Amino acid sequence: MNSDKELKVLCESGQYENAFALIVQEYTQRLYWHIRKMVLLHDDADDVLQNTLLKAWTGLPTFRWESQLFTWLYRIATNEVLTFLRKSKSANQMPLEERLDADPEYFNGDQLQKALQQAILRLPPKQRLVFNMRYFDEIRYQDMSRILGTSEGALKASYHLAAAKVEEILKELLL
Amino acid sequence: MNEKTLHNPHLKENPFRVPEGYFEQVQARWAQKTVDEQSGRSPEVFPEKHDEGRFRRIIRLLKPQMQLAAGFVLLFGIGSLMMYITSRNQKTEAQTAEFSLMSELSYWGVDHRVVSDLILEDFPDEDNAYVLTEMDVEELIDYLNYPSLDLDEYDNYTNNE
Repeated sequence: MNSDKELKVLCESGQYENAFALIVQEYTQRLYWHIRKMVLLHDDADDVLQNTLLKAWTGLPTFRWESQLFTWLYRIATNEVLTFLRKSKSANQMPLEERLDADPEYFNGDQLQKALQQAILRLPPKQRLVFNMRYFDEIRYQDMSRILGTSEGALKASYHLAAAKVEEILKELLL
Repeated sequence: MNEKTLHNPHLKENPFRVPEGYFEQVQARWAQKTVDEQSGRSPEVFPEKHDEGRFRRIIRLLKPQMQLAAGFVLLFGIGSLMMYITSRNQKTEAQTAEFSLMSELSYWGVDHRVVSDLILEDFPDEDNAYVLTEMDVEELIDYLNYPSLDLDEYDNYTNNE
C-alpha cells in the first residue's frame, strides 16, 4: 500500500499525475463500494465515482495533508452520494426500494441479503451511511467522525439505533 | 446463532456485482485523463493554478490576523457609535430640561424672556459697572435722592474732619 507520505512527496514535487494514478489504483474499489451501497444501481454509482475522482483530482494540489488521504476521499464521496440522493429524490427518479430489482444483472444476493438491503433502505440516508460504513466496511468510529464531521458518541448511538431497526425490519421481512 | 440477525457472517458478504473489468477500465480512463492534463497541471506550464494554490495558502495563513484586525475595527466602531449616541442623548436631555422649564413658566403666564432678563439684571455687564465707578459723588447723592442730606452740612462735616 502506498503511504500518504509517498503520495505527499510526489505531490510536493509536482508529480500530481503519478500520485493520482496511485490513488486511483489504491482507492477506486473502496470508494466505488461505498457509493454503490448507497445508490444501488451500477450506472449511478459509476457517475458518482467519476464526480468523486474528478473532485479529488482538481482538489489534490490544495490538499493540506493534515488529515489522512483516505478520510478526505471518503468525505468527497459521501458528499457526492448525498448530493446525488437529494437530486434524484427531487427529480422523482426511481425510488430506492425499486432499484434492487431494477438491476438483477449486478445484484445476485440471496433472499436474506436482499431482505437486509431492503431493511437498510428504510433508514434515513445519513443513518444508512453510518450503518454501511460500520457494518460492511468496518471503518473505525474515529475515522468515521473525521469523514462525516460528527462526534464519535453520536456515531455510536446512530449505529446502534440503526442496527436495532435493521434487525427488527429484517425479522418482519423474513417472517 | 440466529441466521436472521446481523451477527450472521453471510450478511456481510457483498451481494452487488460490477461489469467485467470495470475497475481496470476506470484506472485506464483516469490514467489517460491525467496524462492528457499533465502539461496543464505542471507548475511550469500552468503557473496560475499553482499561484492559486499559493494564494489560498497565504489567505489561510493570514486568516487569523485578518479576523483579529476585523474584530478590533468592529470594537472601535461600536465604541465610537456608543460615545456619539451618549453625547447626543445628554445634549437632548439638557435641551429638553430647558424646554420643559420654559413650558412650565409659560403655563404660569410668565414669559421666559422676561425671566431670563430678570436673572441677567443681577449680573450687570462690564460697561454699566464702569459707569458706576466713574460716577461723580454729587451725582451719586442726587441719584440716591437722599432726603435728609444737606450738602452744606456735609461740607462742614468733611472740613471738620
